[in-house]
Amino acid sequence: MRLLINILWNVFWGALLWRIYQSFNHIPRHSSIYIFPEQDLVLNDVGINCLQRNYAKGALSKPVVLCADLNSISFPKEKRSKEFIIVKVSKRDLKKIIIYANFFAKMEFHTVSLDKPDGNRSFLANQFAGVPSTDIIEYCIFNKI
Amino acid sequence: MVDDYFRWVSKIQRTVADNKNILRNSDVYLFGASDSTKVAALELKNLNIRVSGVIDNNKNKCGTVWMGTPIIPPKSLKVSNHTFVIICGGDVYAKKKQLLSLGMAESNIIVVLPSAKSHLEIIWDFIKAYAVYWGLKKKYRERKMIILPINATGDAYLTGRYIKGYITQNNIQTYVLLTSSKSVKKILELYGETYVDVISLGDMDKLKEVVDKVGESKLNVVFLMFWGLYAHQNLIKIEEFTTISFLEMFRGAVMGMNDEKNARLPVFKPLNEIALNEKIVKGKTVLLAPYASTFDDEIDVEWWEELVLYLKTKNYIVFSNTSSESESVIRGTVGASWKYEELVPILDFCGYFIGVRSGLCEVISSSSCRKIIIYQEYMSKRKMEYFSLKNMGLGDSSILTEIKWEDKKKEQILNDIREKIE
Repeated sequence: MRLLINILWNVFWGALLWRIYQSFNHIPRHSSIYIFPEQDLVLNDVGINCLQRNYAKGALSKPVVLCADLNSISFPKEKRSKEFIIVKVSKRDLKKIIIYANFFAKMEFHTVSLDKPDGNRSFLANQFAGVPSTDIIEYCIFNKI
Repeated sequence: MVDDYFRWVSKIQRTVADNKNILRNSDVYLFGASDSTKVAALELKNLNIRVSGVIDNNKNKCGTVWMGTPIIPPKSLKVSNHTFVIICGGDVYAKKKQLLSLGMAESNIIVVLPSAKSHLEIIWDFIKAYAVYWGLKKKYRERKMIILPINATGDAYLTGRYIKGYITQNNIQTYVLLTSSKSVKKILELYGETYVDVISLGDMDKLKEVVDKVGESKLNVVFLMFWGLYAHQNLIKIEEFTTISFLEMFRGAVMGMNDEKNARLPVFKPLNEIALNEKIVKGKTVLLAPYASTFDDEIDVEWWEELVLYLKTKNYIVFSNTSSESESVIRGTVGASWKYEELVPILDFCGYFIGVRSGLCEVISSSSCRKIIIYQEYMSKRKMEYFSLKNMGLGDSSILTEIKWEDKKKEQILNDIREKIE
């Protein structure tokens, strides 16, 4: 029972935090939100370039990127605001926002991560050694859009 | 989750039906060749409304035909007052923006948003799902609930093959295997798994909901499934992965194992404990398996009947494997629904197996009979390599023949099979 209460409490906090970040950063309703929870430069780099490409060809509206560590994104700083709405979120808040988005199965939220349930890094590394990680990331996370 | 799906399907159908009068005399396009668009396409077909095309941003899809309709890039769309586009979910706002930028009137864009449950409904559903988890947790106490959500025979066979290794590797002391299918339970029992329980599909969905929302690490539950089915399906399309088979993918992605060290074989009943059908003649009997439930691409009955006629001229006794009423017995054969635990010894005795690729092929892979397996037409070369029993290393490859079905080559395939049967 304690677990149930704990989850619902975290969901409540996640919802509240998201509303605060949304209004402080003027994030439009119905934006596509991409959460970058990992400090993996290759993963984040492929992820952000994929978003940029799809935004440029009109397949995405201006993406919102939520990230705890802006240094883990190598996309040129001067071009960032033109292509994305980048929001720095503390690690703790990011975790709660993920719980909230996950709980309500929010379709506009996407997590750029290869960990379960989206992927399994160690399996990929063992089974597909030699395959460019960019291919794996694009296929696993972005469905090569 | 099943409820959500049906709610979504019925919302698409309702929206299409509500707009049938304006769509009937218009140029109707669908945005995106996806599963949800398929629902809309089928509903339009039911209402006798012609779809002029499918718009897709994926360059690889453009120029191909999907459900009998050409796929075109957005810029090829001819915009007029009579052009209507239906968007079913998936980044709706970006798609709408793209159409507006092409000069389409907003009133000509029909959007079907996924059915949204209210937050209160979601919380209430979660509490109900949690109650199911709680009930099962009380029933199984310290036992880890290992859940097998896929009811496919091949998946069940591979689960049994690696489950002991998985238990050892993850240091699990006591466990229960939960499935919603009696057939899966029977296959697992071939591996000596005694603690297997069947739960309802509804309870399975509820458990999945709890795991999705809370995470496996906080619960005494683990779902044995591919992390994201589409990721798995996409990975097999990558050229560099051509050597990966279904078995390797399952072993690695589902069971987290890198080799065959802990693999087991199923144990079947000894032949002397089986009441054999009196018509079976040793070495001169063929079991046909013309049906597959996962790969539902059937080969026409007439072809099977022609094969049976040939086998009869060579004095073979022919059985058809049927597992449900919808699977009819091929004319000239005897219907058979042998139990899993008896299949391999009976087939060893019979001598021959000819069937389409299905999960049954994994179950009979260890039999010493000659096996001819037909891979259905829709399977691409890569997909056939992926599911090939030879590539999976199951059974003795010297007594296994694998054939790719092609409708236009069916006579040649028949001749090839004739040559294989002595």
